[in-house]
Amino acid sequence: MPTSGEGIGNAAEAAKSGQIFVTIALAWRILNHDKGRTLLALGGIFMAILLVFVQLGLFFSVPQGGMLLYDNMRFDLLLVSDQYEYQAQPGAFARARLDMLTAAPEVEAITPLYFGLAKWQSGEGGMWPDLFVIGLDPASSLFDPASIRRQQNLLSRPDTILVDSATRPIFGPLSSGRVVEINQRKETIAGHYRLGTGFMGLGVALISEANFARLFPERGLGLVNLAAVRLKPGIDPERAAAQLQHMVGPGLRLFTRAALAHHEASYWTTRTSVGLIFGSGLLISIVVGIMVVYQIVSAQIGRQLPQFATLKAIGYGDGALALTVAAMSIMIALAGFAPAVPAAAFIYREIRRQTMLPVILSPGQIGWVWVAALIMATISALLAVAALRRADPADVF
Amino acid sequence: MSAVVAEPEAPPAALSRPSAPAVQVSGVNHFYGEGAARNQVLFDNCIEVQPAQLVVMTGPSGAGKTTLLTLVGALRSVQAGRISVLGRELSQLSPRELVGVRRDIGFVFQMHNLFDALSAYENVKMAMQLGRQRPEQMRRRGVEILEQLGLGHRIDYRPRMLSGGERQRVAIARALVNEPRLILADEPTAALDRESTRKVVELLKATTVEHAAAVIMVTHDYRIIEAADRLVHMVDGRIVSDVVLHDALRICEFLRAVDLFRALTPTQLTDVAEKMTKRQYRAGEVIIREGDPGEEFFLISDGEVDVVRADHEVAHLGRGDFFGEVALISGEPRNSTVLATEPVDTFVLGKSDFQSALDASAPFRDQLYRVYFSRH
Repeated sequence: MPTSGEGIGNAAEAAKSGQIFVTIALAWRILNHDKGRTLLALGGIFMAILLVFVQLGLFFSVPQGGMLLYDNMRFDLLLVSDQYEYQAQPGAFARARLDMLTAAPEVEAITPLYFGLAKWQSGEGGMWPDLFVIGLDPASSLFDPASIRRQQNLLSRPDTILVDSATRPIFGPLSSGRVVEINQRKETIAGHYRLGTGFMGLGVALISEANFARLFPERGLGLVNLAAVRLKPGIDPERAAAQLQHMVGPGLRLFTRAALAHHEASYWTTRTSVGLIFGSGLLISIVVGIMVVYQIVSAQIGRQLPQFATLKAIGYGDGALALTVAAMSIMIALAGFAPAVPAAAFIYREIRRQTMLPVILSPGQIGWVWVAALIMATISALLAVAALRRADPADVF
Repeated sequence: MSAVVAEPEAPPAALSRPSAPAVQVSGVNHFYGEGAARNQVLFDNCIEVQPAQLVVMTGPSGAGKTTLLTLVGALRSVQAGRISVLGRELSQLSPRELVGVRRDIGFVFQMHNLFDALSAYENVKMAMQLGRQRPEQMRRRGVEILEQLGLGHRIDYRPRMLSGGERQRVAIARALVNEPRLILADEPTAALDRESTRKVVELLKATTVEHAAAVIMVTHDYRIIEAADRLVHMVDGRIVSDVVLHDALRICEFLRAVDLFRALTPTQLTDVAEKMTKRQYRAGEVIIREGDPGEEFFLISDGEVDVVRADHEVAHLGRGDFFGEVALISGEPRNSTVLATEPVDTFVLGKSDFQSALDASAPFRDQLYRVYFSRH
């Protein structure tokens, strides 16, 4: 026993840190003791965390799916109608309104884009699925992917299309040279590229402006859906957007790339059911996780209530025992989290492969799920501490 | 109720200095339930337990023993009355401070309540973390206490691999490892065989002797009683008897050796003994004075007295002798003065208790009359 004041202080500190260590160690030993039950429970928390990964992945990636096309385009600003909702519902504006913009000193080039839905009349089993058609100037250098740039000149031929290889099988074979009927016109598949169809539909094709006008004669080229604006080198897009917005006047809107990404994310998460579906899925996954962790921890406490009551009786405070509960919760969450990361990576890869959605397991994503797991652990620990309060030390006598 | 309260026999020299009671219970009432369901389970209980005393509490189920134990153990709030434990008034302490009080108490429960996930030593270590043991001393101390309880070969065993008796001994080791100054035990030997009981009782007794710890133990195990310093009996929420066993046995031995009391049965003897209180007198002090009214009967436990009548010594009494009975029987004033010639320990019986004993035993009364007449 220490004899000096300093000694007593050190002993007290050692005792306190010892208590913290021993209560955490107790949590580990309790979980480790009943391996069968703990492993079964860990399966539950693993699934809950995996669900969080999937829901969170989709929650973040779906809005990014709306950027699929834009991410593969070279532009600094995107001019759209103020009716613009998202890629497949962009609204339209008169091509003539591009003229003043073309003359602006900041602008290097403008590429108008035309979107239209055409009937693909050569589908599997006689089906006529809708084809999302993108019309552009074949001479433009709008798209990044080499597969487009390499074949873009082919679009100069009349009645020729390039088809996105992610187009669904119901469109039938997409082999080069195949002649298909679109909006009652014979079109030849000149080649393929791969961007993914995203929210544009089940099939997407690139065609020239002239061909677009032939496919949609009632519309012509007088109305443009989007215009990709490239600025001269060194021009700040934010500042240029503000200046040019003033120039183009009402009814049109200029997006920088960042503003466009923000608009897409906001649209998909707040104005469509996507946010609700995946957001509620995320919430439900977290609630399931909380319930699983709570069940494991409270069951362990329930099984050992007299032991915890005894610890209270002999002088362990509520805080120390709450630490045991918290440690149990965090250990369970961690044990479920560790295998969920590689499992999520595998599932993300499969989703990416199947949907072309940019579902990427980034460090940030892993961090968010870890935060979600900690939230699960914390809430379930708080709930389980209430169970611990049932341990009345007076009852052990 | 009357109480025979005294220091235990021959405490160790280091502990013989005066010290505060380990437990003071005064006027404690306790209730369970509320409103119409409110039920009183303790009634005006008073008890004082000194350091180095082993107190055994007995009584039927529902007598309030365990409730009183939980109150003393700071496990329940004191509703009415006062309880002081190790110098701290419980009703004045915050919940956090009550936890601190509990750390100074060793608890032994009827159920061992050991963690299955922890070994015997680790279960004991859970208690050591709350004590003053340094981490590097813990293993040595934990092993030491387990060995003292005959568990040296079971130190790293999990409770599942131990017998019921071994588990209970681990629980007792957990209670004793921090050398608490107060130990509260509820049926600690209920699950133990004779040998385990002996070890446990020896250790608890040794704790009272070596560390001056007070032990309050609720038990129905008669094997423990011989190790007890005091026997407290509760019935219907009240302490109905509180006997210092050493003194009671001594009184009974004295009474049995005297012709006057030979007719009393063992039960009558213990009844009389229970009602006697211990009182000490300094050398030269007057115990009774000639002419005063007779209110008490005296039995000399230690020391010597002179009986003086009209300034003449008429008798010299010592250990085992008695006096004061004449005035009680005759109703007349004291016919002599009794003076302590050295420090004297006496056991005193009040007039009404003396009269009750007299009424309960015709032979006792007849013999007293014979004594009375022989002294006149």
